[in-house]
Amino acid sequence: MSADTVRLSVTNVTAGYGKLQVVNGISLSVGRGEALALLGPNGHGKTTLLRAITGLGPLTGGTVELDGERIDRLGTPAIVERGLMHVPQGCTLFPRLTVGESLNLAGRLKRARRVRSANLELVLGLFPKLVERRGQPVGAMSGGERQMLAIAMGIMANPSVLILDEPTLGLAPKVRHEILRTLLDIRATGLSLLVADGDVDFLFGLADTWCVVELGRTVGRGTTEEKPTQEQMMAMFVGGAHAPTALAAGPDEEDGHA
Amino acid sequence: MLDGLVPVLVSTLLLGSMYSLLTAGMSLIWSTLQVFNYAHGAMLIIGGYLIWTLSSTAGLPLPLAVLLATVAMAGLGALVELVVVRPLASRPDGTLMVMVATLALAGLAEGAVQLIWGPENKQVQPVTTATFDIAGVAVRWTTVLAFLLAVGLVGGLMLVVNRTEWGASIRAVAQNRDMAMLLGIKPGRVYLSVFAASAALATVGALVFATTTTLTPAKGSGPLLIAFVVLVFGGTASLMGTLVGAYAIGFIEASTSYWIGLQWSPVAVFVLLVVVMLVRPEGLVRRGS
Repeated sequence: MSADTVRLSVTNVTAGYGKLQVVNGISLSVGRGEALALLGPNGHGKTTLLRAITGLGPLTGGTVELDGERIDRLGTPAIVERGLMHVPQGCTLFPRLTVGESLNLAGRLKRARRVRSANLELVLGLFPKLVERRGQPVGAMSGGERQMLAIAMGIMANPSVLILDEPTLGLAPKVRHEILRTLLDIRATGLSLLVADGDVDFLFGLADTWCVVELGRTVGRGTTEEKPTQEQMMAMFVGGAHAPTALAAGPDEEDGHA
Repeated sequence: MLDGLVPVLVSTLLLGSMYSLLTAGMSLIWSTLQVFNYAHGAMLIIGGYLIWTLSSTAGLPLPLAVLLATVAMAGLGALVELVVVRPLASRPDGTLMVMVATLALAGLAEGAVQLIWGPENKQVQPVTTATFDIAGVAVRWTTVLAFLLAVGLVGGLMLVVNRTEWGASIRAVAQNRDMAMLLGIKPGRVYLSVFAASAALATVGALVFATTTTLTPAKGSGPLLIAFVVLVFGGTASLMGTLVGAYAIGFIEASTSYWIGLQWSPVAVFVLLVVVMLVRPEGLVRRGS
């Protein structure tokens, strides 16, 4: 990927909680209009990495650049204002705000104000259910509807890169399919995506490239045209002893960015 | 029994107005930070002394004195957030640390007020002493003014919180701080504005308080306790609950004092408080949006 097409660049990032280091030097990059899938066993640092990238969690080392500008020393509101939006895992959003209020709030960023009406039209077209739910409190919505709203709010923020952490967690297959279809539509508009999820079919249907995180390191990368083997799949979701040598031997130092 | 209804209702109007002005700011802070601000009573007392100084000593007209004191107290409220609350709120156990810090601040403020204004009683002269008659009972125009101020300001605050972008930011930070930051909202700014608004409201409450009773440096703890009762009684984190709770407590105090005896008033209030907490722990008014 050439430097001028890179939107988000994460280099040798370390992050953790107090003395516990969870992310041990991860590098990755996402190009314009590209979707990168983040895979790996639970509890191995994917969420910590994503939170550190957007300033929600402490980043102890490394750099994060968005469109060539370093953003790792900025606070979350400033990072979002520059165009990097994050829909966190299991996000309850604002249970006592209505759907309409939540969408309006998401469009209040300076970068989003001028296109607020167009984006609102776009998200209501992508998620027609939100139209009928507009006056209802978010807390009264189902998990699937809430996830749709979370993605819609992400789009309302008018980002250049959208991070989604477990967007299909706990959702029925039909709803997952609906969200996949919508995310593909969004990708077609040129938005870059960085997505962590436990559903491989969903991720491979959405992304161009993938990257496996295990014990806070990247242990494998590839394009979604090369489907991983059964053994590699075991490494992605179980990790440890199941990790094949080829994957375990492919850390960031060797191949740099995805 | 109906003989005393008019004076009881008039007292309810005055007490409820005072209590709602005292509690609205505290309710706002509670709903945003989930912190009980022990310095709120001290803010009321400082606001009252400022009004007294500006009106009685500096000779300014009372409305101007109240306006200047309110602006000054909003600044002091913002300073408290910057210096005391902000450094502690983001730490582990920050909520507890903020509450202890505000308790310390209340003690500090009481001492400072004693040093600046002395221990003597002070009373702010009301804007008018005129009365009008309802069923043979003389009602002060200041009681009506207190009611209009309370309903106008607390109602206005409700409108702002529920209908404006600033209000939506407050509710967003209160419900999901991380997600609010992801929408570009700066929680620090929200907390700052909430502390400023809370101190300003307490100052208007101080006007009603200081024209009804006398000011002394240690008098902040009484209104603080009442505000706590109103907060629980009406429903925490609900401004409508604050209004309903304030007038309900005012009615209980006024009716018990009139029909049973003054000494039974706190007993009735606290017995009812325990009953409400047992039967309806969410308070009289459920939390709205």
